[in-house]
Amino acid sequence: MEAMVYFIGIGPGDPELLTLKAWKIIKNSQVIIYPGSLINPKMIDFF
Amino acid sequence: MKKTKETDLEAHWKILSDEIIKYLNLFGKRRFYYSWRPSFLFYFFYLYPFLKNFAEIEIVPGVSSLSAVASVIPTNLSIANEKIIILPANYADNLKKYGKDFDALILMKPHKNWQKILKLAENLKNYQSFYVKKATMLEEKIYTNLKEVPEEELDYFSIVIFKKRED
Repeated sequence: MEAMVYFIGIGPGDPELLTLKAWKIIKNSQVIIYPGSLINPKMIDFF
Repeated sequence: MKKTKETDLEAHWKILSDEIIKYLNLFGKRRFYYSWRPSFLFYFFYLYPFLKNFAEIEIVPGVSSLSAVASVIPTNLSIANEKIIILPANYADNLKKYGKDFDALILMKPHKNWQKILKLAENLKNYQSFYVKKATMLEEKIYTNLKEVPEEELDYFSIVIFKKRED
């Protein structure tokens, strides 16, 4: 299987509490799916 | 998607997993990211059966909401041999029973059972209570008396903590 899916805990709300590992993976991902109602809109700036 | 007795959640998870698989096919290999909550209450496990044959999967843990809440209340959740119990607020009926055995009682998603929690809290006189909404976010609110929490402050992103008072 070549495809890779990461399920990432993005923290309780403060975007700065995103982990370094999560940030590195997000930066290199081709597709990002997130539940709009469960995420701090400010987090989108990181995407 | 709201969970009700009439909702076929399994069908919704299947729809979501199909969407993910669609993108996997579009982009081929590596680097696909699905963002959700910290793995404490991770809905990932509903999706996993649908995805496991289509991709390699890795879970990356995040800072839990419980850690966030613990950092903003003016006491510790547990120290030395103190015991903690974490419950969905649906189980608030058992608060009195658990109060005998645990030093900190943590109720997740209390907003749906608020009146029940207020009533049962009266049986936990030797506990300090906290209601924390959206810990670490700009909208963060902390109440140290549950009776003072206005209805409009009841929120999905909230946690109630009962911490046993020191003798």
